[in-house]
Amino acid sequence: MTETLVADVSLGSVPADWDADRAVTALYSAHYRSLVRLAALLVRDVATAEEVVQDSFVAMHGGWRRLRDSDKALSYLRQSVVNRSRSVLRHRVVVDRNAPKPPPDMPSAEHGALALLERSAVVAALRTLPPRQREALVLRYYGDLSEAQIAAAMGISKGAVKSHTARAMTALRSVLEREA
Amino acid sequence: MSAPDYDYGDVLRRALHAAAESVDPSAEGLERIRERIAPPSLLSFALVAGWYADLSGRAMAWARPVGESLVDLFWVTVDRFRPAGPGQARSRYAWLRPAAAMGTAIFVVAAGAFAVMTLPQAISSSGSISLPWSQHAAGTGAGSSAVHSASQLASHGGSGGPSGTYGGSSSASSSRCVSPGQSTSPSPSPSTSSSSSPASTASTTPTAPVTSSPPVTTTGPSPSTSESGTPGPGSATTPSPSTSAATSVTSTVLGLAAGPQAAAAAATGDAISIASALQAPHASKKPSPSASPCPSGTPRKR
Repeated sequence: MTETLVADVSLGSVPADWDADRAVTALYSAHYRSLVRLAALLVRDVATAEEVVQDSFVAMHGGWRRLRDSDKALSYLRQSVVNRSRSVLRHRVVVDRNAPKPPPDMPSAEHGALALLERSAVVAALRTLPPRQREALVLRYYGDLSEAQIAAAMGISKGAVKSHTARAMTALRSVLEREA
Repeated sequence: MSAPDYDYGDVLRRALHAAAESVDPSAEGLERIRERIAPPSLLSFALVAGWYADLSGRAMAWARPVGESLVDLFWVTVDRFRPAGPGQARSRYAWLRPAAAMGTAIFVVAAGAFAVMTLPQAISSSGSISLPWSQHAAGTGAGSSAVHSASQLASHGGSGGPSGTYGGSSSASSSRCVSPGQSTSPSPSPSTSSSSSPASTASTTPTAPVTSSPPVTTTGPSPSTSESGTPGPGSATTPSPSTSAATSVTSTVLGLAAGPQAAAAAATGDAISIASALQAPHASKKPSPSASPCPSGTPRKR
């Protein structure tokens, strides 16, 4: 099974007579892991990333009559994952603003996974970026998507993708050079 | 460190893939998805049906009195247009009653609108009719009574009052009737005798009307001149402050009875001229319809 965010050529076009259940099964086998990792890079939480991807699959199952294509379905899943991850981050900001902070000697359950994700200094620097710039870099350098695919997944134009990517790289370089 | 050949993209790509490799999703992800996309079971259908029944029952409990009130209001409105009489079957002409009510209402509204639109015009027209009378009443007395018609004189009881009361400003009809006589008359008498000042002729020379009488007779009095009593510029000569009201009334009456010649003689007080004017044949004084530009009914009055 190839773990990639791009369309799997082995799947080809999903036959028109496939029902939604069979399409969900096929797409789950090909892209579920990569989608969960993408969501984990965005939301920095594996459990939340899984919920986000599962919600996206459920939504795709509901809209299978409109899709009826593996490429469209995968694009739909990517966009759904990005949007739902953005919503999770937005909701988390509100919760963190109003909820009392836990004591430092009591790490949360996700602390281990976050520490695992942020072992790299680059990922730590990536965390300091604005959400849109972080999404653009993750989709570009982890998902290996083109600018058009990134634009479709983020719901913005290709020029905006270029702008976000350039600013993110400039900010990331400055952070890494300051730490070095 | 900021060398251009240093590719931060490759560093970022390796770091992201290394971080993503550490994420291992759980294996029961597909089962969770299938549970969520599975069709609702019979139990859930029963729950949904019960919830719907409860909700619909509450909605009906709220909407029933509202609907009954609306229905009652509708039938009350309908019954109001039904023909009276208990137990009477509805006639096939029951629609005439609301139609008649509607037509009556439309007629009343239209009549009221018409009255409102025409009333100001009627008031203004009546005001324009009464306006000359008010101007006559406010006259200065400088004019002559000869320029007024007999109807105006009769409306004031014949006694008249001061001779100048009606003189200064005549009505539009009398002025229209006099002006053709002036234009057709070759030379009225007082003006010929005293060409410089016609106004002073009557008071200075009593014989002047005698000399002026033949032209008046030859020209033929038009109905307008008979109405006014003095044709042409003679009307301008007769107004004199010295002439009395009796003289003006006499001249007017004589003008009506015997023509402008007698009227002019009466205005000057010449008895011989009056007698000659009265003896003159009336055939020559009859107005010719062709010469009369004024369609007044004065000959018929005579």
